[in-house]
Amino acid sequence: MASTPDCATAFSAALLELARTDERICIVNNDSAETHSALGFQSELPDRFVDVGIAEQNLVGVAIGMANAGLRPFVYSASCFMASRALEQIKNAAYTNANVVFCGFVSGLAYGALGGTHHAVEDLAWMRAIPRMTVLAPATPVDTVAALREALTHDGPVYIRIVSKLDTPELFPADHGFAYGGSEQLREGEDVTLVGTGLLTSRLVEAADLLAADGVRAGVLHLGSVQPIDAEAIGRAAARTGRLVVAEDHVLNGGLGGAVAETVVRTHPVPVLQIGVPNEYAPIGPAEFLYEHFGLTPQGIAKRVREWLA
Amino acid sequence: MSSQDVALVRRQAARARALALTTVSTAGTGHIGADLSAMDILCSLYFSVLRGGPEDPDRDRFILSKAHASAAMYSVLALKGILPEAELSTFGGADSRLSTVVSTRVPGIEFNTGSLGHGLSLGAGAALAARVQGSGRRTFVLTGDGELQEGSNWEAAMLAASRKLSSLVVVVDRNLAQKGASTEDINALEPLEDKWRSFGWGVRTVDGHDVEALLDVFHGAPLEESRPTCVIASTVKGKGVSFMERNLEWHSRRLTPDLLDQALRELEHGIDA
Ligand SMILES: Cc1ncc(C[n+]2csc(CCOP(=O)(O)OP(=O)(O)O)c2C)c(N)n1
Repeated sequence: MASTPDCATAFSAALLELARTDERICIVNNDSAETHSALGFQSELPDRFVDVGIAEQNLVGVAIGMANAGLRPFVYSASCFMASRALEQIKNAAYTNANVVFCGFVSGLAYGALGGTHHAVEDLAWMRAIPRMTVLAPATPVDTVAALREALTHDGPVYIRIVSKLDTPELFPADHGFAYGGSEQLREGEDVTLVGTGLLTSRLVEAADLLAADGVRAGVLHLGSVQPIDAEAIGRAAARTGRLVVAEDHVLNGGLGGAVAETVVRTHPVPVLQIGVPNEYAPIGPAEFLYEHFGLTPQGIAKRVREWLA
Repeated sequence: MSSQDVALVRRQAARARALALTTVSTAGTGHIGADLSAMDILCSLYFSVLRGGPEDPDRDRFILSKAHASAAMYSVLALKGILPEAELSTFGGADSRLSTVVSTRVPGIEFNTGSLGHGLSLGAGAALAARVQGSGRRTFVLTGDGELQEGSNWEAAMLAASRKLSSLVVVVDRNLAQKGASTEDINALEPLEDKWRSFGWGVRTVDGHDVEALLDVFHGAPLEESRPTCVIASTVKGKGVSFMERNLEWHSRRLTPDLLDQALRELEHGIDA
């Protein structure tokens, strides 16, 4: 299982590759080219690379203006600053149905010791609340590039929650395509289904292996498309295993767990265990320390599931 | 201001630089270029200008809007005796109080900044509160220059001038650098003095490493009656360490033990800039 390049690097490399032949593709960024691996794009395609400086509301407004002319702007920013500071501009992008791709880098708790200003753990809830907004949270480098290709052909705004700074094992073959509004059943299981997105998906696969060693047969469902969401697959999993566990590096209010719970109460009500960031701010420490703190590791997840099923 | 103050500030700034360098090196994380750029400004404020300790409700308010200069800030708080010096070694570590952008977990920090462009609005509010409460306390905000690209700064600048907030002082750490390049190449700020002046502020540009000049302008504020004051402090990112000065890489590069030794030696002997 290769772990390089990481999701963010793979995304930026693929975008540059696509931009060589698709002249509509631009990057608009906020003094963050190096952090999000966009230096190559900047030096090779300087005319289609705009750095607005440290100004996220301007960043998003500029991108919407460019999309109006038929360009395909990719807004490059740490998700903590873009999704929050420019939320109203993003909402208006959706209202306008602008073809802008919002690339939320360094998602979740990856910024570690920088603390609450830099943790991006509310973005799924914010984006999911916006009509017409497509919300994707790919799990691995291959999945992230597949999400990019999907976003490029999509009509309307897309938010992609990108894993940066943390390694994820690859789960998909190189020719994997992104299932818009669909899902990936990564493990079959009868006792419980572990549902995840983004960074947590690969950790759920490992958790399922740990649980298997204890005789718990856990299925794993990856919902890379958070909006629209695969209600059918969720309903199937609920019917088959009778219990769902949702894990995410996001607050419990309104994230993937919220989306799954909303879905099952409409289709096939079953108990749902949510694992994520409770309604509090994270302590200070390196990213992996924070993931352990909230039980968002394979071991932490397996433990919670065992306790829940006991 | 006395010549003793100037000497004290200089001495403390040298000590604080050494502490900040050691702090980021031990932690393997931080923003040392920004720390060293701001250090003489911070020490001038903390060792001569700001009145009242953290517990005093009528203390002058200081807001570090460029919150990534956290190792500098914590080093100064340690020298002031507000934060135990030994705690600096926990910077950014598991369960530490010392977030790598400043936060209110740390005694002496007023606000959670770190998302750039928040400080001046907070400062305008703090100055308005002082007026409501009939207090003569002052409010100082330290902002980066790249940070001024955030539009919220200019919303606050307009308000502060229209409300005649003469107790408010913004210090711009004008090192000409932001993260990826010069501010003038990314989204130009110049003519910066004119901008502030046209927004209704009293403005002076000083050498941000000249303690005497800094103390002079801080103690003398407001520069103009009934106007807020903007001090544009011309600084050098990485000031005091030859291999860091004006080198953008040192925005957030790791400081290895070897380089730390070299940096500390330079501080001891002074460098030919
Ligand atoms: C709203 C926001 N956008 C982006 C960042 C990322 N960031 C941290 S420091 C920095 C550069 C700051 O430059 P400047 O204000 O000039 O301060 P300096 O480090 O040069 O003192 C950037 C872009 C941030 N912290 N907040």
